[in-house]
Amino acid sequence: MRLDVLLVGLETDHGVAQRLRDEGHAVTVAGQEDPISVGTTVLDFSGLSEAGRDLWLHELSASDVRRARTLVLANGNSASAGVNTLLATGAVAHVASHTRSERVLRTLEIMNGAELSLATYLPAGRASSFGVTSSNDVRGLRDELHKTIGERLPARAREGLLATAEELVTNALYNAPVDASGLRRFAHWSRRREVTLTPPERIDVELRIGVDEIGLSVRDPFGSLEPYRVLQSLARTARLNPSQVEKKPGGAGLGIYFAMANVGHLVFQLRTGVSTEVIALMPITTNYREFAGSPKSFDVFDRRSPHGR
Amino acid sequence: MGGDCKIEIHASEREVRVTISGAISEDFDPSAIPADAGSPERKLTVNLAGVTRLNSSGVREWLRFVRGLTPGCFTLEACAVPFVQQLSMVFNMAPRSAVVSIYLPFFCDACRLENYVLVRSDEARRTSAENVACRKCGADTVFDDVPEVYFDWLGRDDA
Repeated sequence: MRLDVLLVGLETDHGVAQRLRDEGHAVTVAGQEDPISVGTTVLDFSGLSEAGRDLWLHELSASDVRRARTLVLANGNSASAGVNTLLATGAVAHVASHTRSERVLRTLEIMNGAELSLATYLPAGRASSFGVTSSNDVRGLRDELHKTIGERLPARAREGLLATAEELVTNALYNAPVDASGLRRFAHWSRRREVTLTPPERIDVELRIGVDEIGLSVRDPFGSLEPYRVLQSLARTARLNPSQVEKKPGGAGLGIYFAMANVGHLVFQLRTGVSTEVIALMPITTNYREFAGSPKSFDVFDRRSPHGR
Repeated sequence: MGGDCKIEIHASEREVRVTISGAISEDFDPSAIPADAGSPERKLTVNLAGVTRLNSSGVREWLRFVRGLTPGCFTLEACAVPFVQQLSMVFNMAPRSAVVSIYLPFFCDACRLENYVLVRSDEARRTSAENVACRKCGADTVFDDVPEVYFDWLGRDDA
């Protein structure tokens, strides 16, 4: 696949630009490009003036197409102002680190229609699959995942991935199921109340263990999560204020935020009316501080129509 | 679904001491704690050393519990690492001034053991920059988190 990519705010010799050229893609570098053309764009806010950032944020907020086709580069981990500020805007669907050219390239390919699954990120990884049909299965799933991951991750990082699995599966069980008219069946239920799906409904969970990363996929067969809901949720929770936690009946609304904080890379693949898949990738590190200091990234792919949106 | 949470209560006329251990989840139920605990009439001390994890529903239950307490009339002591992480991530998880002591995580590169050290909150940053001897092999350990994240809550004013 040959990509045609506009780089905005990046130096010509930036690692991402170099990598794209090395792979044979067409690269155009622009300093303060106005968001006029709707192509695949890699945007570095740190290379833009304040007015340029405002212009782009406005455009990303206003245009679903622009948002789906723009990857924003950020510095550092979740602690850095960069990532949290971007999440808080609710306007950015793709964030990657300056230092992860490989991930940038992968994201651009998926934006342009390449297949996406857990195997996309961990093709040689050893896979284990699990099925969940009831909230009573969650504790057993957690135990199985714990056993499978073993000592490959530091204890706190492993706990972060297990917590992510629990949050994503809980969302899939309580928030995702809809009835024939599209109304949510269990979203308003207390999380203390048991949910059992109606056969053949099932949440599919996959764990893949690679050399450098461990990946988790949680897929529901409902496809009721809309892209704007993901971005709204992250925007609400990334801002530390009284609206961070939902007060309405049902869940606390913190699940995606917690997942984002607990893993290195979080990917949403949204096929409206068909399925919702969330993929979480965790770098394998010796200790927790290496993970906590590693770059964070996330993607929301709206797969309703070709070319990643 | 979330896991077991144990709440032990020791109540006297003027004070209530509570020890919470296990997972703080949707099943977290503090209703057995005397209703006047955490008020000017009856101080409350909550020990959180045994908290193993918190999920999103548990955080909401915790926030409901804390909102029912009178600021200045309760303290949180020996906050376990999973709880400290939430202090930075969640708005008003607890008033900063109520958190009197926390655990710090240290990692030993020599024997790969995770060590946990209990410190007063006002000494936490300083201690995190020091070398702490591994309790197993005695080698120097290193603070096992990103200080700007782990101590973010210390820089906030009580709401």
